[in-house]
Amino acid sequence: MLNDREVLSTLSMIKNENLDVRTVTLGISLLDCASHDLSRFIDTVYKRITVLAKDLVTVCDEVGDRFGIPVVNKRISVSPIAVAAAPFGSRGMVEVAKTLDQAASDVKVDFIGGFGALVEKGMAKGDLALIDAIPEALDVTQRLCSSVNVATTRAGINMDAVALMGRTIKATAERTRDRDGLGCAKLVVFANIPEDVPFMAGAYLGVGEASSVINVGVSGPGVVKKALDRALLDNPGAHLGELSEVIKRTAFKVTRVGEIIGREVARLLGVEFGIVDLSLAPTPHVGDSVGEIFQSLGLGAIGVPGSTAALAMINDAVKKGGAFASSRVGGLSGAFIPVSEDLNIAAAVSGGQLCLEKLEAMTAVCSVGLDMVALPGETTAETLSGIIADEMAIGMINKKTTAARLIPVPGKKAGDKVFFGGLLGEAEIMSVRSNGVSGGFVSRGGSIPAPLQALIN
Amino acid sequence: MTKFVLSVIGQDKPGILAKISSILFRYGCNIEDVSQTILQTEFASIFIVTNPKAHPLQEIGQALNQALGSLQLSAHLRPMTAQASPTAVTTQPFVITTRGVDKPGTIAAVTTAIASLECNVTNFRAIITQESGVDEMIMIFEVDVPMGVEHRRLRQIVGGACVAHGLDSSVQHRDIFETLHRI
Repeated sequence: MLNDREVLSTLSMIKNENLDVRTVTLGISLLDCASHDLSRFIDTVYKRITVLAKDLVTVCDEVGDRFGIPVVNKRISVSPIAVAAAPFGSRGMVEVAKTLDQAASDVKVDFIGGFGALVEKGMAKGDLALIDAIPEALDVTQRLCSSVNVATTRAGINMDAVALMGRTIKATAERTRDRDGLGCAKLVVFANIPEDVPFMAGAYLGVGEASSVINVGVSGPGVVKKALDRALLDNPGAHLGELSEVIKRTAFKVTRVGEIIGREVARLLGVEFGIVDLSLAPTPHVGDSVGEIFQSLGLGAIGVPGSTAALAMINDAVKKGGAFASSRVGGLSGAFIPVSEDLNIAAAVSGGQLCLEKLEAMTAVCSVGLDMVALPGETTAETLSGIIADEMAIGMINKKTTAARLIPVPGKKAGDKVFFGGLLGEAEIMSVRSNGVSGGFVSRGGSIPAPLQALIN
Repeated sequence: MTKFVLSVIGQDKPGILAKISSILFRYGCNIEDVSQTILQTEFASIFIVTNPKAHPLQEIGQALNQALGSLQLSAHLRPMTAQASPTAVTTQPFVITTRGVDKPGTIAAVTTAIASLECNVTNFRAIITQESGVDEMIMIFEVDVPMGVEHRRLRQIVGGACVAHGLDSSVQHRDIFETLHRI
């Protein structure tokens, strides 16, 4: 017999606190679709995706309905296209991109990820073709997401790739100028990219993964905030150790939801269950914000002094609670701080409490990085590369994933508003100090060597 | 081995269970299963009892009512004849919750909707809250739903009955509550 508290608190989490499963992502390997013939490759890829994913949306809706927990997004991740489609040039890569987009549209998922490359140590022919194709691919598609891994703790940072990605981001922004550079919102540069990320824009299926797998991304910043508010109402003098415990317990519950839904979807689709990504992923809605948690903890806004410490605590507590709740944990797993996708974080930018440098400092202790950051259109490719290199260095040295999803909005300047729509949200453009003076460093190219794995203090 | 069902209701006070169990012990009876609850000031319990010496139920009933009468409690006994059905329907456990202003007829409406799909209520609680300033009733039904009944259909039928009485409702598989709160 269930007790009343179990029933009532579950209902409250769903109805008032935005508890949901943020994404169920079906990973599909395309490596055995390889062919030297483009039309044959495209045909095989389309069939593979549409056959395997034809019931994904229906099954997710059915399972979400049965448990009363909405599965907000259904998505697909595929093998890195730079590997699967390595024989083709950039024209061919654009055709592959269109095919992925069409397949995603036909099975009614909102995003498909994996139009990416892993170039931390060097760039092969397929990698160069893919990166060259990114601006056009993101211009002519709606659902395609792209990621490029340019650094790892074991390989170092490929600065040639970092420089190339700075130029690629600029070109992508320019190609999607009429949409405020929207293409860049679907392009991420990574250090230490996990092979099983279910969240976009970084989702792809690693080459070490099974042929098809269900990965789940949970969310729940609203649930964490409400749990903290309740704890503080009961005990206004609660210290941070106690509040960390509240976050941990809440993360446990949120993760359990992801686990049960992921396993059931995988069972019904006849696909292996992969991982639960224990992330606090906000949406641009009141009550579903990571930024609001900072205010519950007693900070004026995210970005003020104390924010990095608060984020470190939140991130750690989420991992501890989540890791206990699930037997298969992976992906990014931590707190996201995507500027435009979180109303409260976007407001902190507008209010002047959060600047680019503080955001970068905070990424040293959270799960992603400079995420959905709108920058002035005049930001040079070299400066973008400098920002990326800094972010990659944080990931490389700290043995963690970091990423940069930067949007230099053409024709707009710091302080202007930019609207991406839907879950991508809106934000004020952040100012970039010292634009255009990083070229000398970035253009040297080569690699920043991998750090020692000893002498780690 | 004969079995009987014993129900006892009346005003709650200390010592009721002690009295009942002592009398049953005197007759050589064994309590196999028991459930008791207290609603406001009222005690209610139900016992499944084995009666190895086959004492007449009337005699045991008289003894119980004599002892309990002074406590303003009454006991009712009847022989237990039900057997587990050989063609038991496979079911799935769901939880139906409703929330709304407490009005006469709401429980009848919701339970009629549940029964119309051959779903069996295995547990039911109603809680009165004043969270939003007015008396609201939250009803929690644990329900066994036959495999052939689609949960969407259940939601539609129950939801329809609830809307007609100004209630919010939700229908969820029981596993989600256990998964969320229990290790």
